[in-house]
Amino acid sequence: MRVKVVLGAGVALVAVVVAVLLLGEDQRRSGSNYTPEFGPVIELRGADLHCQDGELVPGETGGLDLLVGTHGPPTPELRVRVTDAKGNLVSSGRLSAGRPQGRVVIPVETIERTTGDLEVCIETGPGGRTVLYGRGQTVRLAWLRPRSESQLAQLSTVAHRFGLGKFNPFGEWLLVLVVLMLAAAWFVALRLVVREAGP
Amino acid sequence: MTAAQAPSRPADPPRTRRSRLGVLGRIPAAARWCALAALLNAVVWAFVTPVFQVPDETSHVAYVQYFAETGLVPNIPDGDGISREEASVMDALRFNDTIGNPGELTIYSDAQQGVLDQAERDRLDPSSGGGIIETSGQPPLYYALGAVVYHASPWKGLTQRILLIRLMSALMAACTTLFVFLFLRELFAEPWTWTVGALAVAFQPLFGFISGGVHPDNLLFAASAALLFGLARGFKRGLTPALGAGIGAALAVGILAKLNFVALLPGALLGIALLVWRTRERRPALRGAGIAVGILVVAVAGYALLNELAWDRATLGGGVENAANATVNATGRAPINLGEQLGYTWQLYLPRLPFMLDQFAYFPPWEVWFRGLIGKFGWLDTQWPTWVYQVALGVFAVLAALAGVALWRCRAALVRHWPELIAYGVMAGGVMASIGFLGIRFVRDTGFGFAQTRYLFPFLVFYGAFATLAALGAGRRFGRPVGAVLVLLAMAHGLLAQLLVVSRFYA
Repeated sequence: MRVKVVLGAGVALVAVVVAVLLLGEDQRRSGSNYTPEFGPVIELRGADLHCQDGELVPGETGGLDLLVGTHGPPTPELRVRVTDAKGNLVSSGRLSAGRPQGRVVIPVETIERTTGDLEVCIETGPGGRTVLYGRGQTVRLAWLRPRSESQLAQLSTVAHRFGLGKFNPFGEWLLVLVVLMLAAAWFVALRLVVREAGP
Repeated sequence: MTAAQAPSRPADPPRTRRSRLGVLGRIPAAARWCALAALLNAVVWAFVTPVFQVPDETSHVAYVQYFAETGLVPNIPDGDGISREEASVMDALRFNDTIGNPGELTIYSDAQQGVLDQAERDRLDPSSGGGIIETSGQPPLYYALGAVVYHASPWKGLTQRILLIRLMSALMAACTTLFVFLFLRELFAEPWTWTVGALAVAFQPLFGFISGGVHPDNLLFAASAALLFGLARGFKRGLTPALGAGIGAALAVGILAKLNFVALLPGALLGIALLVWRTRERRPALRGAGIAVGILVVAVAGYALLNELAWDRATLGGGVENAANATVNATGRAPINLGEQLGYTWQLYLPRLPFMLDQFAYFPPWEVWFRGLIGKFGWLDTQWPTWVYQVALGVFAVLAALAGVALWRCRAALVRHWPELIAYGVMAGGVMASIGFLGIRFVRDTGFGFAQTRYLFPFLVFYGAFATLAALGAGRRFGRPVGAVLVLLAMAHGLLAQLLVVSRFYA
């Protein structure tokens, strides 16, 4: 059996696996307020309101992923309002009542750019008790991108994030550079195997 | 499989080129290419893993920075463990919010990057660390090398310096891979197997991940691989003064790199003694052994003098329990009896026997060693779904069976090599026992698990040997293609691990 054939088939298989992984669709994260869900932090009763100010909402956001407890019954209607320091509405959204308790996603009007110093209010409609989770007095706000998409479609966003938080003179091109470096490592290794283990 | 079989060696490079390259010229070209592949892969890991997201990287950076800024090892009782500069960079990177929370992205906006840039411009008191933390008792060689890079850096931001020190670690990974290749060359006759084993190590994801971080393990791995290569060469070709100097250098670097290396010393010294005992020409072997031990003694004595005279701490810095106790209050605890100690150490590696106290809520051979080998990244918080590890176990079982076949075929050679195997066994036993010794104390004092797969990576040469044996186990006809598949499997394993980390922190 020729080593080249084995390697060729193997590389093709790896490419297929990677393509399948990168093409898998999901509604992906746009960011959060970095608050872990250590436990319940607030209990809303019936039609009620909880607001948090000083929040940073990431750009390209179209949903809020929230952990909601109701002690059993279905969730009430949930509304989200995001306003700036002057009280101007930045975004809002609602989720109709009747979901099972647990994780819910409240769709909101898309926020294109990352904006800081915002007030985020969560409003419950009529019903029983609604528990929100986080740490201290802060509810965890996990923001999602507007729609379900593949990782490939999200590539420019990943490239932007990849360039942050580290020494990076190349900006969003850093990811491309790293991919090229890995490709070089693969090329060196594959060429060597062909040379040493036979054609 | 062994040296007894005639190897079909590739032609050496032309003499002029060899002499131009000096010592490097005597290293086979394939070994250099393997090292280059490891270097590139480790550099990729250095960029992929966010700053501080390699286990204990925060405290290793703290040690490097304090050493670079003051020339001292961190040894201030009740002092700050990290500098104000590092603390502000950690805050800007939201480190405390992302560690242990796989649902959190690393920083994702230009506004957050602006906060980080400001922290790096402010450079709040970079020499303000120095307090005693879990790394303080470690010997300083890796940190001293890191301090050289720290000062040589034309950029003064902490994340910039960290990246450059990570690149230094990547170079060490290349050295480790080189020594793995050379070790395999001493063990196996067929040259293609050396490449297969070395590349399997070069792309091992946990090795690559650690190699892309600020971590003294990288120097420990390189020194351990060099030591094992030296011993293997000695057992094959005899111990010479030059080889003794090489072994001594590996011992000196290892002992000054990380305390864990102490656990390899009994096996290494036994190996040197066996090398002298079995040789016919006793005089050069004795000189070689004397040089090896002499270099080690000089290194330890120099380190002890520095500790006493320059750094005002215990003669050997950390002491044997330091690794477990530096960050915890070990006083007021009931002593650990021998039965508990042996039971804990046994259960780390083997199923519990009925009369033993149950020391784990999980099965360490699976949870710690195997799952760790397949991949746990970040501060162990970035993992694959369980089914991935189960599939990997199936693949591993096939490879283990192939390696078993190869070992069975060469059983006669194994018997002949008993002194060498005993030396390796004592080294491995020493490291495994030390993990048990330190682990039970750490767990008792903190409640957290201690053992991690990387603690066994001083034996990466055997990971390479395992891959080589698996390829050889496929037989003469299929050995080479299976070897190619193994290298590709290692590369794919590494690539998927890198994608996992990218998806955890950036997607």
